Amino acid sequence: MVYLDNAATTYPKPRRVYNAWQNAMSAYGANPGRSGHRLAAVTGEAVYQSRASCAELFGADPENTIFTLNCTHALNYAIKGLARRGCHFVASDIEHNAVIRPIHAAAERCGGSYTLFEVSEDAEKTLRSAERAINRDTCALVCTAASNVFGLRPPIRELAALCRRRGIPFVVDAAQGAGVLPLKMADGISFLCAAGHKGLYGPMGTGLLLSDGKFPLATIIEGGTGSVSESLRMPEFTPDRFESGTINTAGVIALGEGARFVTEKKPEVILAHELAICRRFCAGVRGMPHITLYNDITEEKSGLYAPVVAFGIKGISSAEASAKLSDRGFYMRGGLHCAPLAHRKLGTLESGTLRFSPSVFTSGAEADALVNALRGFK
Amino acid sequence: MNNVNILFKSFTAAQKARSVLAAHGINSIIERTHTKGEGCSFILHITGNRRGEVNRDEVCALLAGIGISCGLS
Repeated sequence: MVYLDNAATTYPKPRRVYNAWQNAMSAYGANPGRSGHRLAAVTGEAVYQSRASCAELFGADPENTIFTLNCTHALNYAIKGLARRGCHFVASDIEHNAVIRPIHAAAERCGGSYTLFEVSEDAEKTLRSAERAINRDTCALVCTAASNVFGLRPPIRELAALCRRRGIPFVVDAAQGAGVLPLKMADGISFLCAAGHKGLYGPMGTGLLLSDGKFPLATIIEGGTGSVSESLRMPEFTPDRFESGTINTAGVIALGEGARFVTEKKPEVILAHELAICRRFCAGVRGMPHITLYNDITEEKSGLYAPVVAFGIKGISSAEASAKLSDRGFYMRGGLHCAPLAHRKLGTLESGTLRFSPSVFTSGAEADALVNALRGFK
Repeated sequence: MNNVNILFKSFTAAQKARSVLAAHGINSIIERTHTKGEGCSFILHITGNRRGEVNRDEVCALLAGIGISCGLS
């Protein structure tokens, strides 16, 4: 089996993540931050260590590091928490449904609107498009750190600077970027939303919402937090304000171990490895007449892309190709990847694409094996 | 020798304080408590260094560095 669907979720995880999860299930059995007994205290401490490790990776404050169920959950907190009557959102034209659906829903409910800006390989052009999209009612600019379909990286630092100049919060969807791209809150990110189970190598069912603490968010879920319990209102302080109900304790403890793994490996080293694998794959299929490469990652273009390659096999739908490759032991995702905007941009809304997405554990030999298998589709 | 207890509304803030103090060789434990009119809150009992000594000024200065006051945080 060659697993190349790491943009959906990384697999395998580092052994230490499995061990942390298993240990948490047996050793940290109490509810953290709820009861006063010893086991609750040590469980709470383990959760805090995980929170601190996740915060450190992005240069955030542990108190502004909120555990969520996934990246979608975090994005909903940020987008709907910023929405107000008549508000206008700005988002890129390559966003995942995890961004555009909450924006669409928030705009409908608040009598608001949204504008999409055009992202391209030309950072200046992207910035000009984003600036044009902002108006006086804009309550947030939301942008992916990298397309989950074809890896294109919008200029995050420059977009952050634009938002700072215009005084609007900048929300980054880091589902594909966290753990791989150099994302820091100090770059001017107001809210960073991340999946725990992708580039951070944690378990599925974990995610993060990190805030720079400068923009208050309304809550969209209310409930017990184990703190200031006499009040009928949610606490004003974080993370409690956004962590109602019992958290996925074993999951977040394992996520913390994943974050420590990434910190030790260094995201830039992981990125370099995965891009090298992508370049090797692209070089292998580039000359094949029956293969369409939608983002051909070369040495020169490596800085523009996250390690995701979109490709297709002529005459075969992406779903059919994915099934045939699965039969040969190659696991990849075909279809629209929950990102119809990006596919519309690529011109692949009808056919979808296949997605090659390596992880830190993917070898060059595995990329070569896929290249060889694709030769057989002629 | 001073006995330093700090009341926190947030368990995470208490953990952050504990972690910073531990990095400076100052031990502490967190206890859950009930504050009238508030509900659940957390007391950081600072037990001091290896010799059991607590310097309140040093503790408060370290906590001030991370935005935590020796009053209610």
